[in-house]
Amino acid sequence: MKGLIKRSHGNNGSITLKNRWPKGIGLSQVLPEFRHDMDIAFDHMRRNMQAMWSKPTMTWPALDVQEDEHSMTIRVDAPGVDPKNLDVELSGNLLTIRGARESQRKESTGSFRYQERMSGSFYRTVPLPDYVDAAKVEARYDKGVLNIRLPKVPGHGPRRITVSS
Amino acid sequence: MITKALEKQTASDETPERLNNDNWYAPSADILEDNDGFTMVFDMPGVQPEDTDITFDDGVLTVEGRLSRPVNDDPGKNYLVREYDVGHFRRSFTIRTPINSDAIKGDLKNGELTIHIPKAEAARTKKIMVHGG
Repeated sequence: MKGLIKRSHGNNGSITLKNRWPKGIGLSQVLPEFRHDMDIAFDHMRRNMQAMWSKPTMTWPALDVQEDEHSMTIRVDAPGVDPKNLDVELSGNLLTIRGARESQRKESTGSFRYQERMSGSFYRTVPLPDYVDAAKVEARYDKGVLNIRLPKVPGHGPRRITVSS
Repeated sequence: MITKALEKQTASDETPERLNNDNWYAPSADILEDNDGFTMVFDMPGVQPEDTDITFDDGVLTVEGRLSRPVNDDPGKNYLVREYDVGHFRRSFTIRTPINSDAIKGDLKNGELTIHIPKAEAARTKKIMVHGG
């Protein structure tokens, strides 16, 4: 980042505010250039951050949370995970899903040509609203998807509030 | 040798049904090679075997299909978090090693699709016994 902003000026090296600018160059001429450098720097930073956020590690395994009148459903992508290695834990109003997936490397003698799939241990936490009945939680693993269903306490839950004028 | 083929998504190979669908995604894959052949493993949570097609044509292996929304997915259900890919998926790979395409096998289990692609006899490394006296 530093290297992008710093720019050689004439024979004097980097820009400093005191007497390094050649005579006759005012701030108005330097500012657009500085701005251009800043634009490059920010653009660079933005792309780095985008790359960081889009890394699959951040959202692996993927998860959906859905809600209807009667229940809340959490679906977790867990292909190839042995259900024995899946742990669903409830602590206070925080639901934690832990698991692990073995790398193919352990099962095969072949060598990798491509490796895109994540392996290793993972966990995700989901904060639960206080209107679900955590005692009645059900979890089921089917076709590589972990389904967790939490029924709602009848009579509790989001209400629509009428705004009067 | 196996390489990722360019994902062909030109208008010409889109059927109207596909064009109307809102979502395409590419499932992650692992590819391993040993002397007998290639093993490809795809992440396909929730996909039904009958919704998956594997084709091998002119050196290109294509895996495509669709992941339908769950049966209980009615519009009354609000999504609070949605990271899941649904819709159509496709991946293509160019295989330059001669293979025995009649013996390609696919198996979908626990949300993982495993494809075995045996190499043609001529493409396998042979061990030659050295006789000494």
